[in-house]
Parts: sequence; C-alpha cells; structure tokens
Amino acid sequence: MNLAIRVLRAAMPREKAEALAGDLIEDLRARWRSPILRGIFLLVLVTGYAAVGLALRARTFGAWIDVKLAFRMLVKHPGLTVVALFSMAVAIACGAGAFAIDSLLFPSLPLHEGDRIVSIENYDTRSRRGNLQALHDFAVWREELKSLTDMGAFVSTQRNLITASGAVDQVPLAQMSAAGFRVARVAPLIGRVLDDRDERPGADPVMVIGETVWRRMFGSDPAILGQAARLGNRSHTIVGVMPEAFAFPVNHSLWVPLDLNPTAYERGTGPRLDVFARLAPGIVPEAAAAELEALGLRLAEQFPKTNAHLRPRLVPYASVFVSVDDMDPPPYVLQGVVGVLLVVIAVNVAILLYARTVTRAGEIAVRTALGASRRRIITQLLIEAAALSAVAGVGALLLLQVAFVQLESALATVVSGGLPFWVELGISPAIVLNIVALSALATAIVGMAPALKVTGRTVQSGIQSLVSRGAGLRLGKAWTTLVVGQAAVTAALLPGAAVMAYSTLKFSEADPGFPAGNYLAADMGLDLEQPALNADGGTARETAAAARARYAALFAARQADLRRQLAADPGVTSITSLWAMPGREPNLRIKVEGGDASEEIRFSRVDPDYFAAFGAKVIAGRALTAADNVAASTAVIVNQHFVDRVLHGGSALGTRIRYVPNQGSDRPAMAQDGTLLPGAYEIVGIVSNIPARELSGTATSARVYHPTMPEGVYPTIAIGVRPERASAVMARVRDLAVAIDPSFRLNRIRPLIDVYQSEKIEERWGAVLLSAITLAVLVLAAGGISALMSVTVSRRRLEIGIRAALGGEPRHILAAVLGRALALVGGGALVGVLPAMLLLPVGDMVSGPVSGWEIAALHLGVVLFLVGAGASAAYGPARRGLRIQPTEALRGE
Amino acid sequence: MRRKPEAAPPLGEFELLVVLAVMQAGRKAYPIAIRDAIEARTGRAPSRAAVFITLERLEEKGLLTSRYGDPTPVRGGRAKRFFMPTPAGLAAAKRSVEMVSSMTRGLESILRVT
Repeated sequence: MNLAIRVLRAAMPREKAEALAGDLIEDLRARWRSPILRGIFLLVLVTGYAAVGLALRARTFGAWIDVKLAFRMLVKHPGLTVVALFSMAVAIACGAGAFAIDSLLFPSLPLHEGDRIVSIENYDTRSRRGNLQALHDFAVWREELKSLTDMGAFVSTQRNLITASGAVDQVPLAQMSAAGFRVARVAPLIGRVLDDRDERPGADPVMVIGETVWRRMFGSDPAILGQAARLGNRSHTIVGVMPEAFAFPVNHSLWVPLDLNPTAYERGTGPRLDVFARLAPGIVPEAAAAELEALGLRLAEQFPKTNAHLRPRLVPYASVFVSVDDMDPPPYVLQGVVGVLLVVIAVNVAILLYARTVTRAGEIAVRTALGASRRRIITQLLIEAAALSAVAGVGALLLLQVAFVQLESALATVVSGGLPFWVELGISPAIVLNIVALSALATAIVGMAPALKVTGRTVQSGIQSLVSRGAGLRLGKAWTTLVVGQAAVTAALLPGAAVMAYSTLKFSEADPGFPAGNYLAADMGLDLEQPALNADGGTARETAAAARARYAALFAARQADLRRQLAADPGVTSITSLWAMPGREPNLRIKVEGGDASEEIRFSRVDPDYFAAFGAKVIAGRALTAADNVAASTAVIVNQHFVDRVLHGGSALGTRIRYVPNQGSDRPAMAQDGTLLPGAYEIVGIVSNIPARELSGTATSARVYHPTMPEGVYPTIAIGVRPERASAVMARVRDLAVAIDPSFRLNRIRPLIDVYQSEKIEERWGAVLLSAITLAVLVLAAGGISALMSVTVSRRRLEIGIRAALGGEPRHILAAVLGRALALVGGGALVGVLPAMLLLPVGDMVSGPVSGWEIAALHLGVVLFLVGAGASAAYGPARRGLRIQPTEALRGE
Repeated sequence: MRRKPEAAPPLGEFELLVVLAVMQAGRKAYPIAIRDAIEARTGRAPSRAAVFITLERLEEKGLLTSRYGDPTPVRGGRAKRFFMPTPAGLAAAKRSVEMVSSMTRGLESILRVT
C-alpha cells in the first residue's frame, strides 16, 4: 500500500495522490474481498495512474497520446513484439538476477549497523582454509583486542527438542555466547536473551527459543517463560522468545549458552567455533584488521607448534559461510558467456527496431513535412522503445519471481535447517530499481540509435520513398553488412553456447544407474560431542581418544538398535551404513604387487550388507563378512571394472595391492577418514559395478572396497524401501531414534536420489540459464534476420514486379531473390562458423566431453535454422512482388 | 485593439456527462460518486481513469474546482476530493445542453424525446 502511494506521489501532488489512493482503496474494497487480489489490482492501477499523472503534470497530453500510440504499435507488430519482448525480458532478468546473486554472495546483514559486524577466521596458510579449532586463540582475542567489542562465538548443532507434552522435533540450535544477542541488537519478543551469567560453570541450563518454535512446539503459550523442555537428555528452562525474523547467527531458532573451557583441551584442539564481533565505535575495519594481524603474529611466535601457520583475519560476517571458490564452472566463466550473449541480444533488438522504424520512414517524413520537429519525432520513437522496455521489465520481474521460487525450493534440498537469515530470495525494492535502470538502458540502446538514424534523413528522400512506395531504395551496403554480420555473429557464438548448455544439461541429470529413488539416506547424530581430530589426524589427548572411542561404541550400539527395529518394518528391503555415497567415493592411487604402474582407483569402506543392499552381484570369490570387520583386516573387494582396467582381465583373486603414499611424504597413504593404509591388501572377491554409471558422465571407475572399521563412526545409513512405503518409513525413523535414546537424533532424511541431485543443482541452474539465453538469442537472431530479409526484399517488390512485367520467368526471379538471401545468410553463417570451431575446444574444456557428432549437428542445426529463417522471410515478399500487376509496377516507376 | 473575450467553448460529450454528474451528486461529488451517478443514469460504466482524467482536465480549464474532505476509515484513513462546478463550468454546461436541445428541436417524434 505504501509502495502504491509512493508511486502515485512521484507523479502528482501529495494531497491529490492520497485522495486518489483513497478512491482506489474504497473502490477495490467494494469489488474484491481477497486482500491479495486487492493488492495486485491496486499496484496495477496505481502504475497506470502514475503514468497518467506524470503526463498531466508535464501538461503534455501529446506524451500520453504517444504512449497510447506506442502500445498500439506493439500490438500492430505482434511477431516482432513477442520476439523482442521475450529476448529483452530474458536479458533484463539476467542482469537483475546477476545483481541478486551478487547480493547473495556479498550480502549486507539486515541488522542494526550490520556492516560493522565481522567474523574472525583463523586462516591456515598450509591448508588454505579457515581453522575452526580456535578455542584458545578466541580466548586471547576476546581478552586483548580493543578495536572489537562484543566478541563471541557459536557452535552450530542439532538436538531433539522434547516438550513436556512429549512433542519431538529437530531444531537447528546455536550454542552461542551471550554477546551474540548484543551484537545482533534485537530485543526478545517476551522474556530475556541470554546473558553472561548463564555461561558460568554451574549455572542453571536455560534456553531462548524462536517465535516459530514457540508457535509450532508450544502453541504460542503465553506462560512459556519458566517452562522446562529437554534438549536430548538434558532439561533446560525457557527464559525468552525471539521474534520470528531473528535467526542469528545463521539460520537458528533455538539458543543455549556456549560453555567453553579452554583448560579441558590442549592448544589447537577443542570444539569448532565460528567467531563474531562488532567493530568498536569509531574504529574502521582496517584498524581492527591491523590489530588482529599483529596479535596473530605474536601468537605464532609464542606458540609455533600450533600457530605458526595460522593468520587470523577479519572478514565481512557472512563471507565465512558463503564460498565462491568451489563453484564449477567458476562464476566468471558463466558471467562472461552471459555478458557476451546479452550484448548480442541488445544489438539484435536494436536491429529489429531499426528495421521496423525504417519501414515507417514515409510516415515520419510526412509528420516532419507537417511541422513535427525532429525532437518531437525522436521523443515518440523513444516512448515506443520505452513501452517495449517497460513491458519487458514487467516480464523480467515475473521471470525472476518464478526463478526465485524455484531456486528457493531447490536450495531447501541442499541447505539443511533453512537459508541464512541474510538471504532474501524475492523481489526487493533494490531489484525493482535494478530492473527499472536496466529497462531505461534498454530504451536508450534500442530506441535512440534507430531514432537518430531515421530522423537524420532528409524529408525529401523520405517523402520520395513514400511516393514511390519503397522502390527507390535498394539493398545497400549497410543492410548487406547487417545481414552478413548478424548471421556471422550468431553462427559464431551460438554453437559454443549451445554445446555448453547442452553438455551441462546432459550431465546435470543425476543418474547413478541404480534405482536411487528407492533408497533413503538418513544422517544420524548423538548429542555426546565427538572430540575433533587435530591437524595431524591423531587425537590430542588420551582422554579425547577415549571419549572418541566411547562415542563410537555408543553410536554403533544405537545405530545397531535402529537398524534392527527398521529391518522388521515391512516397507524396508535393506539397510547398510555408508562411508561414502555410491559414485561419490574419493580417489587414491594403488600399485598392484609385482607391477610398476600406479593406478587411480576409488576407495571406499563398506559394511557386509552394502553389496546386497545395492544389488551388486558377487562375480568371483566372496563378499565381505562380519569377520572382516576388524582393524587389522587386509581383505578387499574390487569391482569388475578394476579387473578389466587395472588387471587387464587377469586373475584377481589373491592379487595384492598397495596404496601409493602422497608425493613427498614418507608416511603411508592415508584414507580420507584419517586412517592409514600401510600394508598390502589382498583381493578376496569381485563384484559387479556399483554404480553402473558414473555421475560425471565419464567411464566407470575401478573401485576397491575395504571393510568398515570397528571403531569407525558411520552417521549415514542407506535404507532400501518399497516405493509405496517410503514416506511412512521416513516418518518412522525419527520416532524410532528418539524412542531408543532421546539424545540419538535423525539430523536429516531424504531420498538418495535427492542427495545426488542436490550436488548437481548449481550445474543445472547454470545450464537452464544458459539455455534460456541461448534460446532467446536464437529466436532473436532468426527474428532479426527475418526482419532484415523481409524489409530488403519488400523494397525490391516493385523491381520484382517490373521484371515479371518484362517477361522474366517467375521461377528465375524467385530463385534470384531467394538465392541472394540464402547467399547472404549462408555466407555470414559460414564466416561465423570458423571462429566457432576455434572457440569450441574452450567450450569442450569447460563443459565436459560432448561427442564430435553432437557438436557438428549443433553447428549444422544453427546454420540451417538461420538460413531457413532468412529464406522464409524473403519468400513471402518475393511472392507478393510476383503478383503485382505489370501496369501498376510500371506506373510506380 | 483588444479582442473581445470568447465565450466558453462547449463541452465534449463525456465532459458534459461528468459536469452534469458533479451537479447531480451535489456536495458529495467525489470521483466514485460521480462515476456511479453516470452509470446509474446512463447505463454507461466509464473507467476510473477516464473519470479521473476528465476531472483533472475540467479543473485545469477552470470549469470545476475541488476541495478535500475529512479522512474516512473505509478509505484507509484518506480524504475524499470533492468537486463542484465553477460559474464558467455552469455556463459551459448550460451552453452545451442548449446546443443539444436546439439541435433536437423538431426531431422529438423521430428521437421519441419526451
């Protein structure tokens, strides 16, 4: 509503705008009961009135007439309008979407002075990533740094929240310093936030809940304060409720005090902390960064063993949670391609409008002769372009809205616990402004050039062209260049983009070659904190090692209980623990004993049920058994492809393999779970390939399967289900887990196919974007070439008529006209194909393997499409030329 | 030599309808009432924009004048803008009606005007 008033007030005096808005509200209330429909109608009406108001304010009713004329022109040339609108809408949506993505990657926090909230990252110069085990450093930073205030930390985790009434749910929980609430500066809805006293040892366990949790789990009970609820096995008193929009530090809706005790850990070990702070008043980020850096260097000197490679640094708050480094292909490749295609779109629309404007040369000349100034005519043409851009802008808005809805639901499958609170996927005022600016730019590009060009002609030549009905003009050099250039640019750029889009789309469909939809992947957790590994892969202290073993034993026992109970469910067909998803196993290098060459294989650990669960057949030897599940086991299973590729079909059973240590390391090879692989391993069985097809689209890999480790923790289980019972099983797993142990929780459960697809989500989005733009360019190029050919051949209509009158064979005349059209477009396309061929290796490199036949077919398809568009556009006017009466043609001359 | 001031030009057809509707609605002549008055008496439902533009134009020509009333809750707390004809507006309406009636004189039997 306020937006509507603001729009109106831009167009007319305040009182008038208010009264008009009142009229509209009164009227709409009488007609529409739904507030949503009222809102939509109000916005549409207000936009219209604002346009009228602006015209009235400027006291130029002429401009209003121009606006009406502009929309009539759009309706009069529907083909051109649709082509131009579609292309411009895609272009504007891409531009504004890029802006939205940019704000996603480099967001501003929707908190009071959010730009002064920072994160501190302990950057490890060896591993080139942030080291989160900064417990001891955090204590020093908090004590000594003067340029930062309210420094705090949080640990993100999940717990079973169990209310007094027995309701259970998993909630994203932050164990957070009380300073977090001071940094965010958001007041609680009721009660209080956490304070420093809650963090003291021995303090009563308390928690603050979010509004959604309060509503969903406690029915918005007004007497919530002081009630107790359990987090796993531990009871907490609820002391406050935060507003719905509050999700600091990331996407949390429940907060408990962060209990830190640096003395319980050796330096360099401890829980993984994210550290935040607010810049002290009057301090610029550079000053704080300098102080932090100096402190980091001092700590590195003081504690060389743990801190020599650590360089604490100040980063914008959200940047530690968002990474652009891992995107594939890198964002700049996609942005580059999109940018080039957008330029092509803009130029093409300009050409289209120019073609249309040129056909109106006569009309413009008459208006000029009747006294219209050049400025007046340019204004009219610009308003026409503005009308087109405005409608395209609205289209772009709709496209973006659809894209955001899709993206949000897609991201929901990737990001557990919801999107970070600073991510707002929706049409914001900033995006609307961006679209308005892009539409204005589009108006300038597509309107100004044709307007200046066409009004620059002399009145006489315009009138002459009107009188001679176009016969005076021939296909000049400019037109020839445009047609050839248009075809060349299109043929040069499109196949590359098409190959990229096609190959990305082709491999963005996750198909592991087995019915992954019939499996559920469930991530389990246990509240007992698992001691983290230190940098060397060993454990820090004996106590930590013991705690780890205790955790592993407890987890294994709980999981075994769950598996047993699930196995009795008639909807469950199989259960297996997953060390790595089938098809997602990491690579290691091995050597076959007695051979020299090292081979890359995929390494995995599997439990005895794995092969049966995924339907792999034992081809020779035996499968793994429970007896293999000991730390010293040397038995391994390989897949059929291992036998074919590594052993070249030779005998496998009894063959021994060794892992190749990392280059330059004198230690044995290490698996990704930190276990060492020192000795020789004997192949005891061969199984069929699982998955039957690699997800990357490459050939199947050789695989080596080891038994799971007895003390290993395997949080993910794959549950084979009957499709009709899948949702019932999904619902049951959580209840079973809580019934076994309130601290045993289901973090996440989803179909295995979703896991694969979520990994492909970026690629698929890139591919869809690229495909949309490629399609837009293709349609536009065809439209542009059609328009050019149509205009040029139309201008030769009388010439064609005269030739026919003078006895020319219609066949020959048609062949001559079409031949010229085909030669122009085909020649241009061929000129363009050559650089395209040079560009293709780049496209191939970026987008993975696409067969030569497919590339050739794409090239040929684009060229044929353009030639077809040109020929069909030339055919109509040429046929009409042939039907002209000879007398009329000669009179015209 | 000073030119003799011209008489107010006659109103266009829709302008006349709007001025007459303003007169019919009396002290309650705000855009919605004006549109309703036209619809009730002529069966023709003009668009909001047409009424709005015409009222603006008539005020600009000095044929109507407007004042703002008190805010009302049904309008989201916004005031109504009431219109009334100026003497020039009344004269223009009178002239237009006279022109029409003089043109219809003698055609009553054909037009079935009572």
